[in-house]
Amino acid sequence: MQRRLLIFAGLALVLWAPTLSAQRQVSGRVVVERTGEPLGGAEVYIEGTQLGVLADGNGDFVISVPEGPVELRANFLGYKSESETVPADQNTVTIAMEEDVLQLEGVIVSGIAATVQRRNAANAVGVVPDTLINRVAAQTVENQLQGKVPGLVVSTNSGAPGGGAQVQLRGVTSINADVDPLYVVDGVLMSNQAIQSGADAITDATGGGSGDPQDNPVNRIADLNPADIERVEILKGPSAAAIYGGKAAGGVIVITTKRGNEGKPRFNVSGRLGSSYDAEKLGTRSFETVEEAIAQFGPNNGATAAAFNSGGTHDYEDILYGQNDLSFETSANLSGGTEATRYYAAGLIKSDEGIMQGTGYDKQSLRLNLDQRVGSSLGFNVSSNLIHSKAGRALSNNDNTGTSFYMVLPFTPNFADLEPDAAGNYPDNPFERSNPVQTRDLLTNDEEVFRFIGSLRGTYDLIASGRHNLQIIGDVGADFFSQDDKLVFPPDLEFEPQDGLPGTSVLTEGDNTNFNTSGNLAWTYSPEGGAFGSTFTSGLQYSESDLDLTRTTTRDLIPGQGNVDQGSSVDVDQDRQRIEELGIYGQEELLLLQERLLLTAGLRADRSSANGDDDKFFVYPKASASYRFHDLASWLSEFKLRGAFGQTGNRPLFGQKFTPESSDNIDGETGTSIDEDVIAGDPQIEPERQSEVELGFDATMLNERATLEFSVYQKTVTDLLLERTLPPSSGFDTQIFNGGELRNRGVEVALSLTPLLSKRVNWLFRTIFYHNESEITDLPVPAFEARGFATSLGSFRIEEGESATQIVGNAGVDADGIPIVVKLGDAAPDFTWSFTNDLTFDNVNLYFLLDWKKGGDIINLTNFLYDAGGNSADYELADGESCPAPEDVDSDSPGVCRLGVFGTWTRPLVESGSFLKLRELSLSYDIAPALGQNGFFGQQVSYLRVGVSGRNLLTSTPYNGLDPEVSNFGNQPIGRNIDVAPFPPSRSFWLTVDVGF
Amino acid sequence: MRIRPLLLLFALPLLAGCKGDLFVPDFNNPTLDCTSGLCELPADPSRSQLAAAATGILIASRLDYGDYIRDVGILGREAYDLDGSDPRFVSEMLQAVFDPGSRAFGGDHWLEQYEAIRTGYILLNALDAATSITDAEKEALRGFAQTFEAWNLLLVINTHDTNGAVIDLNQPVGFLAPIESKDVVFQRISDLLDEAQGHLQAGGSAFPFDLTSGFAGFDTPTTFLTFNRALKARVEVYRGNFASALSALGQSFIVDCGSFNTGPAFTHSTSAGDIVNGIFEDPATADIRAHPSLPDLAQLQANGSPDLRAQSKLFRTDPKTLQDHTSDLTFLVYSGPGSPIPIIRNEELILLRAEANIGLGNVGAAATDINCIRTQVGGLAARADLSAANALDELLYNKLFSLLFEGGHRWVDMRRYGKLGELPIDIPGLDVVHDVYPIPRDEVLPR
Repeated sequence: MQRRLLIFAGLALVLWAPTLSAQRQVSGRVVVERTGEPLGGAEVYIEGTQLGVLADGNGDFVISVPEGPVELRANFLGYKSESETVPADQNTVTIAMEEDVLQLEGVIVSGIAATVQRRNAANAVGVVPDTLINRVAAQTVENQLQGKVPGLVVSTNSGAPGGGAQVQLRGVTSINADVDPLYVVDGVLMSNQAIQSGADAITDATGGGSGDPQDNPVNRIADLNPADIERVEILKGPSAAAIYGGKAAGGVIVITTKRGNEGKPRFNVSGRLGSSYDAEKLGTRSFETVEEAIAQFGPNNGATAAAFNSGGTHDYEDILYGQNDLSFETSANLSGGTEATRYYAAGLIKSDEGIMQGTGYDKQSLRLNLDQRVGSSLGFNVSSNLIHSKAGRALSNNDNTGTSFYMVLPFTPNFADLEPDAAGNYPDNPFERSNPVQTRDLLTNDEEVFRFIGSLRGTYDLIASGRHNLQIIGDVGADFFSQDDKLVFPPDLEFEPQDGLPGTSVLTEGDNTNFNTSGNLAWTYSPEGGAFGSTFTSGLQYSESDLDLTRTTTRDLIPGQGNVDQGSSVDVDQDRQRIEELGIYGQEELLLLQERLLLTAGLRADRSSANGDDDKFFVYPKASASYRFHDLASWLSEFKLRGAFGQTGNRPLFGQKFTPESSDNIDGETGTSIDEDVIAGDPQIEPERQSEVELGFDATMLNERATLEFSVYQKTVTDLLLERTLPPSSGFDTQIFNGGELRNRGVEVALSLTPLLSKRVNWLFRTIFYHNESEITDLPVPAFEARGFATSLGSFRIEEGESATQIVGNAGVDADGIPIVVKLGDAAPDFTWSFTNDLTFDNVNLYFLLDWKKGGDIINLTNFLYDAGGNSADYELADGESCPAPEDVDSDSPGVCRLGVFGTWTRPLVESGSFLKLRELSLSYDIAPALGQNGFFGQQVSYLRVGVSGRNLLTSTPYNGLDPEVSNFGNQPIGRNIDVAPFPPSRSFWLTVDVGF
Repeated sequence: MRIRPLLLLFALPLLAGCKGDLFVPDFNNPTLDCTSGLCELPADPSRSQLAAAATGILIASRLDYGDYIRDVGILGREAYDLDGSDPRFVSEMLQAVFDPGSRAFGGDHWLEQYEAIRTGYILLNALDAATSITDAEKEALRGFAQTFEAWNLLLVINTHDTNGAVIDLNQPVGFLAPIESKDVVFQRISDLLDEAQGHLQAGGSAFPFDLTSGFAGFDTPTTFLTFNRALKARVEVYRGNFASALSALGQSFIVDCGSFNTGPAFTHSTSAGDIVNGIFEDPATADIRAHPSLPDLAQLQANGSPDLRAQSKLFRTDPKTLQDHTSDLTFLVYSGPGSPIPIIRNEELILLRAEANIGLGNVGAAATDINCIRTQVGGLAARADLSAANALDELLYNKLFSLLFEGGHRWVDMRRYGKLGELPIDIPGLDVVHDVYPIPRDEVLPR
């Protein structure tokens, strides 16, 4: 961007400046080296100056150059920079550019208003270009990043349409505080709030052992349209993200959306038609005799025998999750512009049908990005995005009421007939409290979101002398969304009279506003002779976020009514959280020794309303260096050593600085008091502080046909936000405080290869390896359970000297009959390893992504429920088989044995979540060349691809549950991998047509 | 020269921004100012803030009282809680081991009382500087808050007895005050009630808040003082200071042989924000059961039917069994989820007077009060044979049935007279009668 602006500045100079010396005209064409195709839009300029022009749609350009031999250089995003010497007596030239398939060039983000040449970067910044996004349709944008960046792990929480996925960068970043990365979309700090729908009013999941809701919420980054994305840059840890200071503890994901280019209008349309299929079923026990059925389920006043004797079995997983209606997605964009005005407009209409009747995800998105130059030195960039989405997510995850589907199925034998009769009356389920077929047909759980995201950026070139460039950049961004969750459970449902108040309606209304603005100064300086280049940026950023959540729960509904005023028992709850923050920052980048050595130092200071002292600045420094060696060996064209250090913070959660009182009433009199819900705040609470050292090298090898990126890091989190137990005589139970230390160490490797690169064949292979280990290195409070229901059911325990994600459970009892609690597993994988192949042969392209996770244990409680119901597919012992000794029972032992040791031995519930998934597969054929010049409607078609694609087509895993990507509690710092009655995963197939004019 | 004004424009918001106020309040709850460590109301609280803080003392004191009655009732074999979802109502409450680490069982009846006392100090610490109420009203509030501090400490020392309790409580959050002996704690309770008396006497004619319908008749400083003196009488009887107990009773709301149910109570309701009476359960199906030995203890009336109190307070239903403990008796003490729970009633005061007189050797005076209760409440014949030898047993019989499932009196009274060994053991060798609650683990660990 900066380079382009400078070119425009240069152009202006050319137009205005009197001719200083004799000129001549050189005309030429820019082409792709491999195919000879013209390359429109490339920048061509005279080497050593800022004087340049843009090639037109046919790749042709004309440029005025001085007399004598001249060297012309061409730049174009996605291609390696190329220069060509034009002799004094020659006035035509062809510049052939090589595709930059390994992304050796271009700039990447290094600060809020700073970028750095990728070849100099001192951090392993992850970059996902648009060519790797949206190859295959995905539920939400996070899925598009899976397996594409080392150090980044994306895990879906369930298969429910509409999303719900966690992005984790470089391991565990906190125990109690926020763990999401910061999303910056065109300068807007985009909210990734996950608002619980309020399904807890039905499931009462909070009622048993864990007070946290388990409503399977969507985190709202899901709203973004992947087709709008130009590139995603990922600042994985503090060493790269320090300039975002106290917002960047979970890393920073910088998303840049597409913008218009100068030239003739381009129009692209993409249509997809597809379908989703239930990817995994658990199956049930088959009962041979009525005696066996009665032995398991009891006589039930004759209902068991009657159901069994009616003959026939039912596959309820198929009945509930067997829908595969047609889904579609249509997106289109129009872009173009003149020298002064460029535009990009895009629209999306999408309808994903879920695998359960009544579930699905509809989204409409409209984007308009506009860039306007005013005069020679002022420019504006406007980005705007309007989104509407509606998701039907049914009911899933844990409950205590026998209502969530996979909570009912474990206790419902396959011989029970729950289908409605001819008159539409649903039978009661004699085996559990609800009839899941009836629940599916009658429930409403709809989530509707309206969202606007907009930003304005102004840049003013105060000085543009060639040596000194001083630019002022100001931006304003806002992100507003309104989410409504409407849940209606009519009085007719079998389970509804349970609480004596038949019929439940929940209305959750959440409004969130993020607003941010910043002013920045960017000064680049390069002395005569070019001994060094200096870039200094500094600025001030103010941001605020405001969440206002109101939930109304009404019970005892008037039949047929769903509004929350149509019942006798109404309960209202409001929660408002607001954070205001201010940061100042400055950073200096120094490029020395013929651009071989890059030295960077920077500082960010942050204040936040969430801190105990909202006037105090917390300072986060950073420093880094990189050095490039050229041509160390014939096979090693470039070798870069790099090292970086940086710090970031993680602000306390809203309210942790306050000590609240409970408001209750007695006999109609309101009063304020301390009770067990009150957690004493810490008026001096400070942010958590992360420090990271990253070391690594980047090698470009084999004639630029291969690159290897290798990094190691150590990230230490101190001043953790912890809760300590107070002596109860103090009148308070627990108090928030800063303390303790957590450490992550990891290795990241990325290898890219182009084994074949010729005029007809282009094969790009990329593999990514990532390993992280965490340890609680200091814990000033006794070991505690961070997540889970009880040690007998497997629990995440925070313990000094152990992995932050260890899973503990019971392993026998001691002499006093007290359970012995031992480590049984670790949710952190041993490693993740992915393989991407992108193979083009003439007009045919084959692309696929394999994603491998080794290790990473899961607490499988869904399976436990089937065991408890005596209904798991592998429940029974084979003839003559007997259970292993209790200490030897594991997840592959028969269910009856697993159940037999329950309570004393937790090991059967903890399973390996290893998997190998075929994440993405696409096969496409471009028929545009066959159409020739005439194309469609008299317009030349630049491409017309037809293809088939699929997501999550194959999964190979030893895991006995539905999907090893699962999280009952949604996005979690620690304690993701708990499997309780999730929405099952699906695989999706798509037919695609993409056409571009 | 064109640059300077622009730079200034750029620098001004920067400077302004650095100084900008980022304070955001807690929108969701009233908050305390804990910078001093004490956790205080915001400076110069309004009249309504002080009223809410005072009402908060009632709310906090009420919170655990139902559980206290149930749990101490289980220890004293008035009750069982045959709740299938938690085996510890049997394994801890009726059997070893009474675990100081389990917050709802062995580690209970400590935190909630200290939370209520902290709630009281939040009010007390705000009073000196308050300008929104009169000095007399401040005195009234001091007397009110100290009376409830004494009452909460009494529950703590009733349960923890010889293990002692913490009494130095107006301290910063997290402060580790020493655990004092039982005698010191009782002295503190007695002193608090006397201090409160002084404040109430200077408290003018009205409290600056509404004490709820549960305190009807005890809702002015003068009438509330009669409740304070009633508590003082109970404390002095527990300490064996029978003469001063009688003197306190004289200033209490005691009425001779009548008005047995007069006394303050905690109200309950099903309204939003209020809490229900947690120890009321449908008598036909309740998990909370009466101990099966109670009917056999009930004396018979002249017509052969049992003591009226046993008839009106116990209900026979289908038997329920948990871990080999069975009972077909439930309680009729509370009639519904909105039933109030009395704090102290005239019936107890009459029995306290009898107990003090027994202690002082005035068996005749004691017999008058005991026979009043026997005849007027129990429907039993008056006993003419009461003597120094049998008066105490007769008194304890009457306290058991008069105050059944109403305050854990049986366990406390039997312990005071060394009679815990007389309580029934359901499964010999397995069941035990705990004599005292252990100090909670979280209180012991940091010491």
